[in-house]
Amino acid sequence: MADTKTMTIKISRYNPEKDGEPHLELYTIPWSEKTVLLDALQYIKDNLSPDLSFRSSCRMTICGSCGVMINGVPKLACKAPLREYQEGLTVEPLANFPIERDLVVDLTHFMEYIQALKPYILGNIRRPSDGPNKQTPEEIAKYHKYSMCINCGLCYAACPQFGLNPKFLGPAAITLGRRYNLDSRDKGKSERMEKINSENGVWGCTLVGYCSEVCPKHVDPAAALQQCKVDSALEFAASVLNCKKKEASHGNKA
Amino acid sequence: MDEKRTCEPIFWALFGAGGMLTAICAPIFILVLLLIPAFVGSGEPAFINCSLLGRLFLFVFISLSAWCGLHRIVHTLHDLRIHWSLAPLVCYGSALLITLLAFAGALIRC
Repeated sequence: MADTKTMTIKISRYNPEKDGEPHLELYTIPWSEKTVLLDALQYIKDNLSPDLSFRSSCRMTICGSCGVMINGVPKLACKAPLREYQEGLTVEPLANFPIERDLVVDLTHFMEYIQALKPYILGNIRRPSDGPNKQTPEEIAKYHKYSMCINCGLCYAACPQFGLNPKFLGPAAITLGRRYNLDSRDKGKSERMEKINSENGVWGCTLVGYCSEVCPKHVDPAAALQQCKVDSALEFAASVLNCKKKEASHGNKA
Repeated sequence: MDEKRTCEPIFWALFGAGGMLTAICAPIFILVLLLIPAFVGSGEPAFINCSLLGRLFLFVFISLSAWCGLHRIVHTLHDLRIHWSLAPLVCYGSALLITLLAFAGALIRC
């Protein structure tokens, strides 16, 4: 192994029982052209620092567990080859989330927001005996891109608005809401739009667009949010008109 | 979770319309109203400010540009963590004032 290349990487460490705040520690690891950051983290845990905490599962950009900040940019550790970081590598936990320990962050808010947008088919009264609920390729194409989300949270780490206001429902949750709003089998749009129209809904977004840049699955949440804004604005106009109609009808009755 | 509907769609619609109109028309206006008269010396084109249609167009252009710019300022202040509670009132109030002035200007015959 004389020709094994080595690299020194900085990793943010934080043990809430001992440390006042996170600090960087240096680790020297062997690497090759095929080594990704997740391999390096596992090497450190196995050989250098067994108490290093990080999340991972599939190792192939499917589960979305291993999101970290690499040199300040949200990335999946399993999709970050070390050969691209030969000038230096600093690994920190995902930004905008509370840190639990080392590279593990508390994703409770994120999970709650995804649940709030009800990302599943609503109001479809079909039964299994009715047979498959067929869709045309055009109907699938409407939402297909938005269904690629793996809930990795990189878009939340990239979103400056979520950083400023943690109550903002954020890119992934609203994109998932949009995905089901566009699904021809779904009848729950009005339920989701209540959340999307709200104070901390889609209007928290100012179209910075960084969420779409960092998305490892090219979901383009920024586009989904812009489309939601158009929907929300049309609903707003409709609600104003409906109010006037209701007032007029009440007036007539009186 | 706060379910209250926000009135942001009104300002966003004005912002979007203003941004689009400014992006398309501002370069043309700079060319027609400023650069050509400056270099050719032929003065302002009369069709813009002396026809009702031209003046109404100027009203729409000026007012929507104001809504666009001042809406952007409200959000930029938020981005810069300057939490001035009067910012929306001052900015949107200014945009409304500019709209009213532009409308009055459009109605005054040259």
